[in-house]
Amino acid sequence: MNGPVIELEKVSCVLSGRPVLDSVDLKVREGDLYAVIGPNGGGKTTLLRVILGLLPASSGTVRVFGSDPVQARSRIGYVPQYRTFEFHYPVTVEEMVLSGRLGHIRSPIRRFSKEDRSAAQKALERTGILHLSHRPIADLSGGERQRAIIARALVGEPELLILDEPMVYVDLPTEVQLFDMLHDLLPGMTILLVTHDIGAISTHVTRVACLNGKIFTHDTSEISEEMLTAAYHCPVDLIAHGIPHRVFRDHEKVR
Amino acid sequence: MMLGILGFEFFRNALIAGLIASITCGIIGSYVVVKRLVSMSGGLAHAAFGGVGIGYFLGIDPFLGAAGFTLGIALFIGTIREKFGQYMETLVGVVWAAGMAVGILFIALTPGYAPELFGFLFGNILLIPTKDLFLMGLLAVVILAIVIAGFNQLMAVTFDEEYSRVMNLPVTALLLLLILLIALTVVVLLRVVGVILVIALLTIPPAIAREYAKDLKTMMALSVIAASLFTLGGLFLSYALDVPSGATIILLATGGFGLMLLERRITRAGKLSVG
Repeated sequence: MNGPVIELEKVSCVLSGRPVLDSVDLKVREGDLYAVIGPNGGGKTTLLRVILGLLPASSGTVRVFGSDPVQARSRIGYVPQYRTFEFHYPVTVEEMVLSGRLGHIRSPIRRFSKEDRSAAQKALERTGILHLSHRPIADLSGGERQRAIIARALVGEPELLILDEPMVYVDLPTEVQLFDMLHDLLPGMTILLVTHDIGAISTHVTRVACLNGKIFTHDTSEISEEMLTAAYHCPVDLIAHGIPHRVFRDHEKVR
Repeated sequence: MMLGILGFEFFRNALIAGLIASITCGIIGSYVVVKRLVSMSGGLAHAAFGGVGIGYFLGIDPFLGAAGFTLGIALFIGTIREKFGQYMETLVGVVWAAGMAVGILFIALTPGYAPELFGFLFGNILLIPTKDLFLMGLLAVVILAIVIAGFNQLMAVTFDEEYSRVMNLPVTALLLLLILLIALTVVVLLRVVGVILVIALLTIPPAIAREYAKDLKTMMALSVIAASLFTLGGLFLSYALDVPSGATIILLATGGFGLMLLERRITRAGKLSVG
């Protein structure tokens, strides 16, 4: 892979008259665990929808694996926001994960093959929920559900994994486990996640950007005070409360 | 002595009609409940009455009129669904009332008496002509074939529409197909419970089944069983007591739904006191 996995150039997006993304530039390279943080309403989900080709950009260019997002979809695994997920649907964990293979099946009937089933087993193993295969998703705990959604994204053997607020509704130990799991996936995978929770930025993250309509990044894993101030429009110590000290370097060092 | 009535053609037709209705409403009703298409299905069912009226007016079979009209409305709703989005609920309300109005208007314009009108409104399982039974059977076979062939994709799209889009499944076409399947099911149920009561048969058995099913196939199977109990039970009761069959079937179903709620409450309370 020569070029970046995801490349956005001057992407703007206007939703029902309101500018949500304003000239956003973003480069996610192969092997990155890239985190985009920002306040609610800052355009994080919109950014992901544009990258997935679910929403056209009003202007600017979006390339995923060097091509149009819709064409790149078969190489992407997507973990939608937990909050909007339909957990009351009568489906077992295994069936839900298996459904993530449908995009790869060419026949019009789209029956699952042996390969599909073994891919599902593997994804369930990787996410540590193989023992829950036959349970309905409604019976799972928050962390188990989040793993099931990630397993469905992994079952298509994607090269790029995109996660929308993956750490919401999971407790801290689960969050650490999930980040470790993502880190273990990294060789051979590129990961982009968005979150509003700055506390949820793990040491495994390789690059960080702040998004609030406009995007602010140093293209490193450091979150600088100016990025946060620009993105959140409030005194940094207010939002930075309780954050590990490592995220704040001295200003001089960042420059 | 009750079994003696099985010798009558009208009763055999009623039994077969009840089974066909139960199979289709159990399967398609499951999609209606999990995908929250209840109001859209209600709209389609009531709009079918427009087709009944047009049928009377044009002098064609009102049942065929209803079949054609309902499919047409489903095609219309299914096609504009995505563009309308949040106005869908309102649109369904308009179609619901307008369809009924069209039916009433055309029946009023038709000279003479409209036979079987009450049957189309509230159903009459004991008066289903053999030719209508054939059409019901044919539609049921079409519905079953489509569901079997498209099962995985229909499940994906009713479970998570956006993810299906990300997998490049033909989401728009699949949802249109689902709405057409609901229209076909409405036609199958029309003779049994009538336009006004269709929505109950389409939602109550699946709503009961969902409480006990861990996956969609089980939900469908359980709701076919529940629907069979209600339609066949209603059929025997209405014959024995000489009361309207459509209403009897629906009230049995409502009773079943009440029992389910009660059972859930007791089970849950039991679990709480143990835990």
